Amino acid sequence: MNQVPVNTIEITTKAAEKVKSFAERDGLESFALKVAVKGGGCSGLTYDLEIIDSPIDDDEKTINQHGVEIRIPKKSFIFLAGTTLDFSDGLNGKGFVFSNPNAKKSCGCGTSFSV
Amino acid sequence: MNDNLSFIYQNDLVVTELKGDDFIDLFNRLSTNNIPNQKNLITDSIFTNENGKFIDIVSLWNSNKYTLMISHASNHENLLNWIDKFTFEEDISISSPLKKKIISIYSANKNKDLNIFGEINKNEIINRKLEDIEITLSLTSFFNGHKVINLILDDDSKSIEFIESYMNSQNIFQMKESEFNSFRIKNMIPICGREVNNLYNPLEIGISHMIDFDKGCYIGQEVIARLDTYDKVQRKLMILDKKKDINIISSKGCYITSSDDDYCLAVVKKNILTK
Repeated sequence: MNQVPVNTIEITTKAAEKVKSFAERDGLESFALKVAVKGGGCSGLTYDLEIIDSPIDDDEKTINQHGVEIRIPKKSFIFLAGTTLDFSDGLNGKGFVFSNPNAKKSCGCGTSFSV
Repeated sequence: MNDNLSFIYQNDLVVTELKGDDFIDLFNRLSTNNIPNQKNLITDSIFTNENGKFIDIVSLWNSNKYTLMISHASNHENLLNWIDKFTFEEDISISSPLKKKIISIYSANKNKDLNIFGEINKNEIINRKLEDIEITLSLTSFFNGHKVINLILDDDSKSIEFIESYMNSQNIFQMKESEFNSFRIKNMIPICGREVNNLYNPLEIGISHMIDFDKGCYIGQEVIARLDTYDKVQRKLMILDKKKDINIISSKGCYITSSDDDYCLAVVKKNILTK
């Protein structure tokens, strides 16, 4: 996988299509994907994904890729810089998968990490 | 101590008030038990570190009026620092310690009724006014299931004098520290700083009832789940007779945590017990 510049995060085409399908299912014409980090989880930090239709906040960084607007709270961006968000489907798929160069350790469930 | 009810001031406990929309969500990601967003309910949970060892045990009193967190005074700063470390954008505030007293009422007889304040369901929170003194009370249990009534009231002389007088009128008298120490050793009730510290994990101390093995992940969860699944808990809390169990007490791998004249609580390596 190509290295993502550290001043941004990337979303793969597959993940972007999945986000769009979730938004469509929820009847949202205008939406953004909020990608954030919360405290807790087995490794200390937990990824948090949410499809939102609220106006942009001053403390959010915005990135547009593959037709999806991604919003990242600036405090979370410190932990997410350089991350790629992919989607793994199929019977053994893991759903949305984060490839985060800042993560030194990840837990088995894949939603928690430490830096 | 006889079968009568006794009370003790829980001076090592501190009461704070939690505010904000996110503390239940955050505490679910940081502690062992499932904390439901349900009013008038008490939930006990354990904050553990990455190795599954104790940070602290807390009791959340989620009433209609407020949510109180009861934790250990001697460990309070450590707990606040731990929570702060994992708080980023969450809407949560923890007040300074409130000027409150906590009183526990119980009997040496595990089966004795504790209905001095009327019928109370377990873990339910009741706000009551006795004359003009406001008390918050609940029926919970010690770690071993031994029932206890906990009262929270203002820490001022008027409230304290009133409640002492009220309890004395009901034949409930204050227990000495040494009596309480013997009572909790006999009933294997661990306390902070003795059995609850960062050397041990909750499974070793025998309080797995405060762990929800089906909830989502929290810090320490992988270690605790692995220890439980593969039966890898190496030590256990035991009550030992100072005369009869001298072989165990004098062994390497026996760590005495509390003691009275005749008995002690100790965390003992299981391999000693099989020899």
